[in-house]
Amino acid sequence: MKMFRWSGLIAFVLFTTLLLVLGFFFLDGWMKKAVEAAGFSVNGSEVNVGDVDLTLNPLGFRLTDVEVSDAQKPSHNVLQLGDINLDINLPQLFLGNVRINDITIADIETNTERKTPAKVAVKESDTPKAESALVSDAKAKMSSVAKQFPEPADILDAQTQNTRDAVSNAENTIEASKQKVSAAVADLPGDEDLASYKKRIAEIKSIELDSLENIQKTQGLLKSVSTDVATDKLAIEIVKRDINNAVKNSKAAVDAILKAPSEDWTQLKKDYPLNKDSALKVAQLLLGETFFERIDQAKYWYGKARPWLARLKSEDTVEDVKPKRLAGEYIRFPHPDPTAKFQLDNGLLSFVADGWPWQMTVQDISSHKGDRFKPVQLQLRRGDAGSEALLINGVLDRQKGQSIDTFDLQGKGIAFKRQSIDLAGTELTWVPDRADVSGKIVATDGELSGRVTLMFPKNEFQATGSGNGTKLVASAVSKIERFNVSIVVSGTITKPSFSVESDLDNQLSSALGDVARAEYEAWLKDVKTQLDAEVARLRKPADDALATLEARRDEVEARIKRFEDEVEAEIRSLEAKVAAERKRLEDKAKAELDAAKQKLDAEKRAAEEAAKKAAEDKLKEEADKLKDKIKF
Amino acid sequence: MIDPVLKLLKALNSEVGPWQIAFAGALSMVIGLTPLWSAHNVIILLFAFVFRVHLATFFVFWGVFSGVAYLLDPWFHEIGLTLLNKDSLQGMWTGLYQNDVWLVTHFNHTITLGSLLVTVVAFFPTAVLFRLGIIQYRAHMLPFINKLKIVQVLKGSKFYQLYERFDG
Repeated sequence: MKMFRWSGLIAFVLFTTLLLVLGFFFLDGWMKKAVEAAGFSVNGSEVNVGDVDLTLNPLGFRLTDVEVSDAQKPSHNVLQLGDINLDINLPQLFLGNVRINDITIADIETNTERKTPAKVAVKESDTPKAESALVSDAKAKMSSVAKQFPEPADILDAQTQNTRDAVSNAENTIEASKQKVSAAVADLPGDEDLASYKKRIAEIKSIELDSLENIQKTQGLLKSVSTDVATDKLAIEIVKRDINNAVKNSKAAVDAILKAPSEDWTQLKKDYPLNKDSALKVAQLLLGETFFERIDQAKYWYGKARPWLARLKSEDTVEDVKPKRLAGEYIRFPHPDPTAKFQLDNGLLSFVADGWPWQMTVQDISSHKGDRFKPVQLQLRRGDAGSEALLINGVLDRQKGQSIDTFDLQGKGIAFKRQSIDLAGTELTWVPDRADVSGKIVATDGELSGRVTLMFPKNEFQATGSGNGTKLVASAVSKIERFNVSIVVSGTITKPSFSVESDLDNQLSSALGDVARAEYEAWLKDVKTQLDAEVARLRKPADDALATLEARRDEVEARIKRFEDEVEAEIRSLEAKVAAERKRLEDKAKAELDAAKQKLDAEKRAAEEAAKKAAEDKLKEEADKLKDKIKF
Repeated sequence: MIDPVLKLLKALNSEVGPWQIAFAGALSMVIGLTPLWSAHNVIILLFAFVFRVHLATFFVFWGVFSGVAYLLDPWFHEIGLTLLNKDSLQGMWTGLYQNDVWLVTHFNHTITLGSLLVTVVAFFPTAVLFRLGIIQYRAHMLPFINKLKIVQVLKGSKFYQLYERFDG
């Protein structure tokens, strides 16, 4: 049997040729699907490609109507790229490397409305993003600026907190005292009790004190009444003590209100001091809005570009994401050719923004990192070559394990908006002429450092308002013709921080210092007046409540006095009368007893003498009888 | 799909050489267990077409081994990863990596390397096992199967006779 089947060779050639032809016809479609799928994966929302054509000169692809949707706003595209021409190294593509010799992007539009809303990838976890340091810093600055000399009425609520607390405490204490007094008053003997006492006293009075029996009966009744009165008296004393305590506590609480405004006042002066830290940074105020708008824009575009840039990470970078198990893993080895998995030799991006033609060129973007790595060259130009209004040259170096990105900025005739700020009651309007800009920013492993200087050669200031302050401000700004503003950049690429320095501040500071001080004093006086009025208003309910409480106390005391006058005094008087009558009767009885005793004694003595005489007579008689007998 | 299966059954039951079927099975093991879009599979296809192996067997077992490949991929990945990271082999891999021809083979892909190595090593043993299996089948199983009532009924059916005539 023959070993070879030569007809099979023909079948094999036909089979592979058929595959190649089919591949050529379907290549555009595959490329379109691949770009859309990869774009969706990276962008997090739909990326649509209008059409893909394989071009033979240059060998590569032409993509038209590429829409990159906005994941946060699916109804719109972040970018719409009209025309992308790619000059690709196809043999390298078969080796798994994307090498773009040249890319030209034109007809760029941003924030365009989509015909249909984009599909958005479902995120595994939507963790709220932490507020950037820049935004926080900007907010803090705005808050700090806003805190300078606010309207007195606006801060009274916040700055009378101690008074409000003291008033609230006093009101609570007085209310509690009132309740205690009301409860105590209920225990006081009332009118019915008083009438009952009066009735009992009248009954006692009606008894004739002509005998000891009646007197004893009267005393018994009086003792009963006195016992009841003593019980009531005890209750009265408790009530008196409670009322006095309540009034005392309430007075202490109201006294605390008197102290609170002074604490508020101390706090207010601490919150709104006039010192170096709170001095107005005029240049920062003038630049602020525009500056932060630009930073927000830059951050927005950085956020959009970040997932795309992440795809260009060096092959040497250790990736956190583990490869899919069944997909396997490509192991890379050193290669003398700097051709990397991704390399872009030249890129050109042109668009129109702010009414200016912009052009961005990039060279040598590569995921390769090694001895033969060439730094990425980047240039952003606003305006035509040779007469550019802004030129940023960047070099992105990734050698020796360190990333050093350097950006040089040069600009001429940068327009700034007219700005107005309220400066201590004076509206200061700044009309700047076009400024020049120069600077250098270096990012070393993500750490930023640099300084950008804005030079304002000609400026016009207008101070409008009334009063001495406006005159001083107008006088101060009239002497200023040119000044510089330096923006010092620090922090990290993701969280940059900026500080603004300007000689404008120095020029204005001395003149504005006097204005600010005068304004501050006037403001403090105004605040003090309003604070006193507010404190008086806040105190009034507590004072009224205390007065009511004191009136209540007086009323209770009057009731107690009346009770004491009408019942206790009557009982005391009656007791005294009964005691006197009892004494009189007792004296009389004693006198009678003494007389009877004397009479008895006299009668006794007479009887004794009579008996003695009779006995003696008898004895004598007997003796005579005896004597007669003896005579016998 | 039923046509290659029927052809395979017919080949097993006919006088087709056992080696023809055995090598077809071994080649299908290589193409089935390694990633399809690899350069070496073009050579495997070329061998299958040019060498007088049984094509129906090749296509049937290609499908069978492709199904098994998913289970073995983690093992192939481990083998490939170990070999590619082995210090003593770094010089060889670097040399191959710097040659574009070898890059086309995707040798630096863990599953490709692991599966290719395993299938190349297992090629001849697989072929021998296939051959032994066919011989044993023909000696012991085929007479028994032919005696089965259901096979006799099937063979006597018009459908089978039509198929025989059409294929013949």
